[in-house]
Amino acid sequence: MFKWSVGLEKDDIYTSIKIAACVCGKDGLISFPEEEKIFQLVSEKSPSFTRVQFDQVIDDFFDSVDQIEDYAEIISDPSIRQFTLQLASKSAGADGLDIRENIALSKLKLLWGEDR
Amino acid sequence: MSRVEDLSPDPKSHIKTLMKIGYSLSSAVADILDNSIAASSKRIEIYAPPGLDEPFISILDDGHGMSADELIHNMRIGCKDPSIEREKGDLGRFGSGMKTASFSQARRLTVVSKKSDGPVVAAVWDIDKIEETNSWCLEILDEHEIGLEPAIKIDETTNQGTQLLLENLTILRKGSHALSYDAELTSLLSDLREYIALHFHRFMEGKEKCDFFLNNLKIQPLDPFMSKSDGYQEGRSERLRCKGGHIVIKTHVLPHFKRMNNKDMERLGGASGITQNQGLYIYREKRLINAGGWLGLAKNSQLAALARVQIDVPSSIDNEWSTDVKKSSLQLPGKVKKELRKFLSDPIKRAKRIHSYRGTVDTANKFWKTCEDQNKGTITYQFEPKNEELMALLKECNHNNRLAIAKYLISLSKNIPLNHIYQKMSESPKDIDQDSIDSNLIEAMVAKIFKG
Repeated sequence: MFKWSVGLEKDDIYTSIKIAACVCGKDGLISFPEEEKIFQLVSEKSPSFTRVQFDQVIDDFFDSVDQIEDYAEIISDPSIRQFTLQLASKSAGADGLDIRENIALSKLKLLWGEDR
Repeated sequence: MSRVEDLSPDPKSHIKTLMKIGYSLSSAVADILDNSIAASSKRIEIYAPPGLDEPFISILDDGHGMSADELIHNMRIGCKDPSIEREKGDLGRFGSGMKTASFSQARRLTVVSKKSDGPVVAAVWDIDKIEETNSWCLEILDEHEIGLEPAIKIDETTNQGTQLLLENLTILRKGSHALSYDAELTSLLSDLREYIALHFHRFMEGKEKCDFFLNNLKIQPLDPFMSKSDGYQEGRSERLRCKGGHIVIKTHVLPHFKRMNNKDMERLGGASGITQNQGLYIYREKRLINAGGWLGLAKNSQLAALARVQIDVPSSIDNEWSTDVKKSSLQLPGKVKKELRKFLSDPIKRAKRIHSYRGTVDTANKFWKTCEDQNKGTITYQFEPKNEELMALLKECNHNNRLAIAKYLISLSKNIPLNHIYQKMSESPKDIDQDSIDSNLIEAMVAKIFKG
């Protein structure tokens, strides 16, 4: 099967972005620095990933009613989880980690048993 | 077993409620103009000729027009579900604006429309008929009837467009002591011109611009940020991704009053209007919805008079922003308030700085001392007792004279006309000219008193 980048499928990337968006946009808004950070980190991991695709994923995220739990359930691979956690924490911290974002991040860690 | 009763509103009563929805002429016409903009109009003409016994208001655009079916559909009150997301650029909201706005101003609404490849179609809501028949009876005009109405400007030769005709104006019937129709209409139209100039200013410029005319005179845009004036400052900006697009926040600081062009200043309401209208300027799809005020996020202050925050909101998040039927107000969602707070300090600080740069002598100088009591939260202005010139003068005086001069200076300090200064600084700061104090006159007066 076609791999988007080493160890990451296209769907994994999309889910990781949506999880990061959940953490950053816990209150329905994603700031420009957060958005740019997500794109930058994903592009580094997967150079073929385009801005158009990114915008589409973010639009899908806003149109969906899925919660962080629903997205978290999809990812089971420990290395992808690790990447997603880093993506979420670095992007949410791009303009200072808000208390609500912190709760979302803690929730994600809890869901994946990474709360130690 | 329970049963269901059909309690549809009584048309005769319901129409009276819709007539009292609270539009001003300006907000009503603006709501109608939203439809013209959404129809990609490039020219909109508002025409309300003076000198008629039965005045009317016509709004004619060259937008893409409607077919007979579309016209009938759009004449229905609440023709669109507010929960359905609007397309980008669609300024509509509840599918009721055109009708309710019209009913608030007039008892008869005629809508005539033509698509580029279609016939002229027209329909009329006449409140007299609704009341008479107690039914929502929409009148569809035939070609012959359309031709009989001289105010209708759309005919077979028109390429495309829509015209609204408001007749039997209720806005002008305010009792037996009302002004003449003409005087009243002129005053309302003057307000309307400024309202459109401000609320639609962003549609009046650029590649896709639309020209607005009021009684054949082109309306000039009114930029609330004076962004093309000398001394204007653009500050921080931010884009926030949200459902359906971006919220874009930009901060602006107007030029100092002394650098403002008199005409621009007057159009923005003079110094008092500019001070009063500091705050948030919220645009929905480029159309201004909220013109000033901090919506509880900050307090109006004289020093922040020049601070403005522009917020662009896509129509996709209408539900969260709670726009009303008139689209003349909205509520900020809590999450947006939080983001906005980060931005408010920037334009306010810079606006304050503009005042303090220009007025270093205002803060403190060698003649005046400002004493701020942090505990009591009070500020006192008094003469500077350590002023060298004063000390030298007092040295020359005997003890009694020194006390008398000191008492006089205390009285002078106590009696600064603060309210008058504040009022004049707010209303017409340009008129204050302390550099023109006539020292010759004062010296001559003193010489005259002490002659001999």
